[in-house]
Amino acid sequence: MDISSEIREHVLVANIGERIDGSNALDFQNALSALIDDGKRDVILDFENLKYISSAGLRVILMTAKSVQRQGGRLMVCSLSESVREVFKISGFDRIIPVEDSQEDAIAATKS
Amino acid sequence: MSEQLSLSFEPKIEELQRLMAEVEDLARREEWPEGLVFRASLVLEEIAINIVNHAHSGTFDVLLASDPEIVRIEVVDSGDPFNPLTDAPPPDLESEVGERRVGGLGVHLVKTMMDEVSYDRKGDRNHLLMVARRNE
Repeated sequence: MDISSEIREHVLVANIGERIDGSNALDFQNALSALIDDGKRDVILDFENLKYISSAGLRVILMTAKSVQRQGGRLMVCSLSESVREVFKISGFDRIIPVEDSQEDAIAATKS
Repeated sequence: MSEQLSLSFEPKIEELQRLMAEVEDLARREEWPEGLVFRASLVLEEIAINIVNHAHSGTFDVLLASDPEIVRIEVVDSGDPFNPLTDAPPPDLESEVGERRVGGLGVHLVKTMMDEVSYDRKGDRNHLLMVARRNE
């Protein structure tokens, strides 16, 4: 699982790879934990490149949202494909994790 | 076009990639729309992972049939009796982040993303049949 990350306007932005499934969810979890480990900060997962996610990936996202919240930050996601957006909706994740159209919108949302 | 595939898998997580590759190959040959490839891959992964993690099954079989109208996916395993339509715990879709229960989403996704799902226990095998219409 390739994740590149950067800090933009005090927000941690992680660009997620093409697939999060049962065979790489653990790597994804470890990579994300290492990124958010350093304390209070809002986190944006950019799904621009994400083509596929299953419940194994959703599990990691929910656990990450919980960790970020415990640290006093917020987790957001942006740039979802139609299918990934549908999975978020069916899972009820869109009620607890803000979904933004673009990285810029997500960064703006952290300021509100 | 119309094609049928019958495949066998060991109950190991390492088999997931082969399963996904087979579905994608069939999807390419049968020119499935992108959304259908996603739905078919996802439901197969969810069911396969359940078998790998919980079923105590030996080899399990995946039967795929594709025609211009529908895609038919049947998964047959020899594990413990398990009807995902009635035996899976209900998902938590409502709680706030802090309280949201982790897990239980796989079967919920399967039921929601397929147009028909039915279960039958025949002899010592679980048969799960899932149908998706192509044009959505």
